[in-house]
Amino acid sequence: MAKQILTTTVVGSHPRSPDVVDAAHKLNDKKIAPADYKKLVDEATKVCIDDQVRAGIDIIADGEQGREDMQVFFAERLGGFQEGEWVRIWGNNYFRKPIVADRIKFKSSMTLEDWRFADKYMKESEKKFKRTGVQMKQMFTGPYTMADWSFYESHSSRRDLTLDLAEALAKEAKELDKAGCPFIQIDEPALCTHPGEEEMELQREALATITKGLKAYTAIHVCYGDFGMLFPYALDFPVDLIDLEFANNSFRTLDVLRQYDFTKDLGFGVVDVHKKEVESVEQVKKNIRLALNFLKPEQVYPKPDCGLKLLPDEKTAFLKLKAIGDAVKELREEL
Amino acid sequence: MVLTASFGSYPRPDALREYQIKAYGRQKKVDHIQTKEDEAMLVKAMQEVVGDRAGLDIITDGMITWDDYLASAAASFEGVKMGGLIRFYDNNTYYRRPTIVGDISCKKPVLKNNLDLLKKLNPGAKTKAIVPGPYSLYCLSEDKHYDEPEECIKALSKAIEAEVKTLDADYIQIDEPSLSYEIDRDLFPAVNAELKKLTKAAKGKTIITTYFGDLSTCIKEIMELKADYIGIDCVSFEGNYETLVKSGIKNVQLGLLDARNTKIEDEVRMKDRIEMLDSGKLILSTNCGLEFLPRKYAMRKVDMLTKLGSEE
Repeated sequence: MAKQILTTTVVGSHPRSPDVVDAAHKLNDKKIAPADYKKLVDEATKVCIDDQVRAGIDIIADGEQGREDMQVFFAERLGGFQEGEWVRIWGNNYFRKPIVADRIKFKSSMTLEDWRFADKYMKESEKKFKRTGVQMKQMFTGPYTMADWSFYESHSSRRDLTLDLAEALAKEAKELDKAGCPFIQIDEPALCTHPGEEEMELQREALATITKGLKAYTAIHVCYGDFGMLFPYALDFPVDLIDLEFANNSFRTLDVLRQYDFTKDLGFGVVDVHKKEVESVEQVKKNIRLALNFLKPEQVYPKPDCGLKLLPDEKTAFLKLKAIGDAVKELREEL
Repeated sequence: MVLTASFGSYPRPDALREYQIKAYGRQKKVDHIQTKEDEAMLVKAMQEVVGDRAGLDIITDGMITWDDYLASAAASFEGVKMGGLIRFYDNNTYYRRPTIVGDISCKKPVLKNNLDLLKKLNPGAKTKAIVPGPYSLYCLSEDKHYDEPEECIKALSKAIEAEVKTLDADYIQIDEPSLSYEIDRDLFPAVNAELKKLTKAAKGKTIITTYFGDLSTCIKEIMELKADYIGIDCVSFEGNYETLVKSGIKNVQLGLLDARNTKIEDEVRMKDRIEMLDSGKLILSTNCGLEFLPRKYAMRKVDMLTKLGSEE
């Protein structure tokens, strides 16, 4: 992937279109045909792509409109899982926590079709908004998180399950790589929940299985937790970029990173996805400069802290992205 | 003597889950006023969670209205506002983080209501009420008011004590997961002093529980705790059971069964563990609340507990 300074990106999700959410419920109740649901997802995906291209983001995503959940989506498509039952996750929100009942089997690519559709539409969107050089990434939930967020009955340990999942997800990564996806991101929000060298080594092993032999640029995204526990171990993870939250923790994680020779690229969260208030361009510029105090501009990838699906609506998501796009545009001229 | 106990939380029955989503949306507001329909649904749900656990010697109200897990208790305290969502320990579950913005007090204890309902529906079995420990509640919160952590812990403890004094249960369980999850040795003397006040204020027998953490990091402090029973999670960390055996602690609420995974434990292995502990004062339980499991699987764990208890 060609290097530039302050490459902007996203974590992946966009607020889910109310039409898609409604249709997803109908699909579950078999009140809508899968093809009609897919049409709505595709239309919503186009809106997400337009938002990102219009906002000035360089490496964009499809907005994960078709993913009801980052765990269940993959569990439903991999062999070895059985359908889960309702477990409360917060307030009155529940998810069908999957149960692993057998060894994991990769059946067919789970994200390639979505990536192809998004990549194709991105080119139209570039023309519409007079931009060039935008790239389409693809994300999938990593083996560490898939294992940690599932019940398991067939594997001897969480480690056994994590490494089994890594073998299957390596096939997913290879399919994307073969198709020309330039940026593959592995989402591991559970990584910050189990401290210790042994856990980080497990994550490293799992990532090594997935990223081995890939041509694509690779990234790991981690969120929700104490990022201090990741270091120095994460510096040895076989990926090009480490993507973390910063705005939500008042940039305290930078103090940790400064202690090391940070040789990887950094996905740098400069807007908070837990707050609906939109950051000003000046504030975002100030935030980006915090990383530039000790990293080269080529290493810094400004982006929102996490997926934008937590924001109340698409308009807020667009404005947050635009603040990043505008801030980087000004900084590129100033640096 | 070996007793069996519900740890605390229990999965909400389908009808309650569906009702709550319909009536309150995805998150019930802090100032929501209970309606008659709410009460009727609660009674029905409580009947079901009591029925599911009828084989146990000691049961709880299932904590079926604790939307923010242990932090829920702080929602009714003066001086506390419920903030943004944050992860509940190492689980993929989230709670609104209590933000302490003023002097903490508990003017209207609320935990008594569900306990009274439990007693009414379940006149036979022994009852257990759950309160959060002051250290865990401090760790789960964001303090923007007090100058020193000790002051905040003391204030939280006083508010919890107001709840404890209203709880007429056979057992009072003080949940302190943070003691094993993230112990702060400098704060421990102050925490222990507050825990002593709480156990003294309790009308029933007392249990101080630790869970989710590595017992070896805090066993010295755990051995200093004074309560009728100490709750130990023998699942979350591989070596916790061995650490417990070595410690010589005998008055244990033994968290033998995994309440965070559906897999049913090997019965022979569980019996060996009970025997090896060689305790004359033992309560068998899961390692934490069963709410982390779907109800069908929670019932299987209850059946296993009942079986283990009946054979000891």
